Amino acid sequence: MFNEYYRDLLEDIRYRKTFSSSQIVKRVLDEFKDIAYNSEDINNIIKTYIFLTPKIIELRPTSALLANSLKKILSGIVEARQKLSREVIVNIIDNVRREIDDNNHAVAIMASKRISNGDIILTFSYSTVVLEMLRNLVKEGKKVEVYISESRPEAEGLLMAEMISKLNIPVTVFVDSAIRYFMKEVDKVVISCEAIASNGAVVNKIGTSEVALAAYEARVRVFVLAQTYKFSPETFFGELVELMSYNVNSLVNKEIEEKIGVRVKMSSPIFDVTPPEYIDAIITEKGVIASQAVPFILREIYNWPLKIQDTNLIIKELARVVK
Amino acid sequence: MKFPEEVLRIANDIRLMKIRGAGRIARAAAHGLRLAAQKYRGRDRDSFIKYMREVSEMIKNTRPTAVSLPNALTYIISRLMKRYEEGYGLMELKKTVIDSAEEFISYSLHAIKRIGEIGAGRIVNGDIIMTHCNSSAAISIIVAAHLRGKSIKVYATETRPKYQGYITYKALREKGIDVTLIPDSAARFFMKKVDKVIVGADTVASNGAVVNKIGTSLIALAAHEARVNFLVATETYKFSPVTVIGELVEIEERSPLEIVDEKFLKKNMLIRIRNPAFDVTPPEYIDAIITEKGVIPPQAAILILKEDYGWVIKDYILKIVSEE
Repeated sequence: MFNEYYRDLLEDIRYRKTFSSSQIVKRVLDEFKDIAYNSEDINNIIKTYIFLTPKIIELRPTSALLANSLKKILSGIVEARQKLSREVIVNIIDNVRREIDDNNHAVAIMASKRISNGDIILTFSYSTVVLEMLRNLVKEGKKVEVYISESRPEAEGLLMAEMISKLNIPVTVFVDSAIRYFMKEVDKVVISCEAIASNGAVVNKIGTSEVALAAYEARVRVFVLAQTYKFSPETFFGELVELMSYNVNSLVNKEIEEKIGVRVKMSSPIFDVTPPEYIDAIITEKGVIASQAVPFILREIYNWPLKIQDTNLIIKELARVVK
Repeated sequence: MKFPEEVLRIANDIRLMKIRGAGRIARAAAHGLRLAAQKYRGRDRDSFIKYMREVSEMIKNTRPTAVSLPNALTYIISRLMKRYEEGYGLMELKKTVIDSAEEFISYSLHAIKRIGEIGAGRIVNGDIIMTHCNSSAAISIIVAAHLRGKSIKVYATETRPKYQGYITYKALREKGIDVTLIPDSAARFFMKKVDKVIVGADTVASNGAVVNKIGTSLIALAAHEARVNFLVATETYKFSPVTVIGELVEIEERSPLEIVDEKFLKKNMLIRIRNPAFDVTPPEYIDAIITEKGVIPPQAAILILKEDYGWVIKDYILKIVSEE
């Protein structure tokens, strides 16, 4: 029954129809709010959350923003168990949502300060927070130009280029393999990410580490925009970030395959890991930090030694709230 | 005089990339000159020379980057000019073009095989090899090593925008080699597992820099970072004599329609699409260049150039000096 009902949401995440992790989280939170509005029974609402949360996280295990915000909501509900009502739940969700938005605004503002008039900015893949930074630059009257590659296989770079050109910012598009060719002309690389590990390594769309490497070689600065919800505290205790793989069907170009008349074997992860030494700064809502300073921020959020809650434990506690 | 239909078709196929790859382009160009000589209906040797020079110029202008094209043409035209200066008659001159074209084509085909034999020696049993685009010379090495019973696994990049990686995939698969296609952007991710990278070349400059399909330099950089051997497989007629006198290799930019469709362009007039077909890999990222004459470090490119094109280079230098 549940599966049927939430298929749209789950399919959307599974088939990556939404590229930006902020957008996915908003989509999930809206759905969670709808669930609260559409049911009279608090127990039902919570049971649905308990059912959906692991499924959602499993579909996009790389997104720290997704896991962290769901954890925050669920533990918020556990904390408020004495006075639970529909309004209280909606309020908890709204607060997290607002926090994410506020964080992104802060990140975008700080990022735009690092950009000078006349800069050529190279960005990669699709990111709402990078778009917001560009919007700020237009407002401030800074003239910039953006370079972006198409981002195979999903070509979300083309979508990003369309969004950027709507801001009246000149944008140049090329194939992913031309990144090094154009890097010489670039002043700054600005990207977003899926997750940041405790050593400062950045997990983002496949190809990001090539961009960072080419920038490093050309001595171009690399800025990663990441609100602290994207920090993965689990990695502090040795967990690896899981890089999902594409299924073959979304990778292979069927038309070309048919033309050559051979079934091809193709493989690729969706994300890759950029080592911290190629990153000049991570821009968070708490300020601009060196990538090696991630544990410092983790300590600020999760105390010392880090006290992080396991999603399964929170769900267990939440199950106890339901009578 | 008008150019024969068949010759125009060859030129057009090169321009439209129906004939691709520096080696195939060179052989097609030689074949074009041969056809032009065979079809020539004029009666005097002076107009034959003028005609052959015009045909050669027309074919040369189809693709700006690949040096194999002018080198193949020079190979034939220079032999023709020598005979002309020696006073030979029209029939002899025609024969010279036809013979030297055939000589070049057979040399070129033999070179690929020889590169395979030489390169296969560098491959160790169990090697994982990455290749980019579609290079006959690189494939020749991989296949030769496979035929020697070495177990090899290959990662081939799909090579946007024209997906030549699929052709490489097919060529290797048909020989029974285990090959996996990867998107171009995943090259660094897979580099950790790779033992050697082997790519072809469109042009080798006199300092050892290699001009090849866009993305080659990014893969070379990733290989350098991961301390993976980076090998370039190429015939010596891809070494560019003009770079010795300081000429830059012009990087061809192709149509945006290879990357996006008409609809996207119309909808997004403000988006500029750039489609460079090649990039330049600096010699410090290249471990060796494998040619039909032997394996050289890229910095020794000048050796090949002086040995093979000494006379051309001398001509260029004389020309510069006399123009001064």
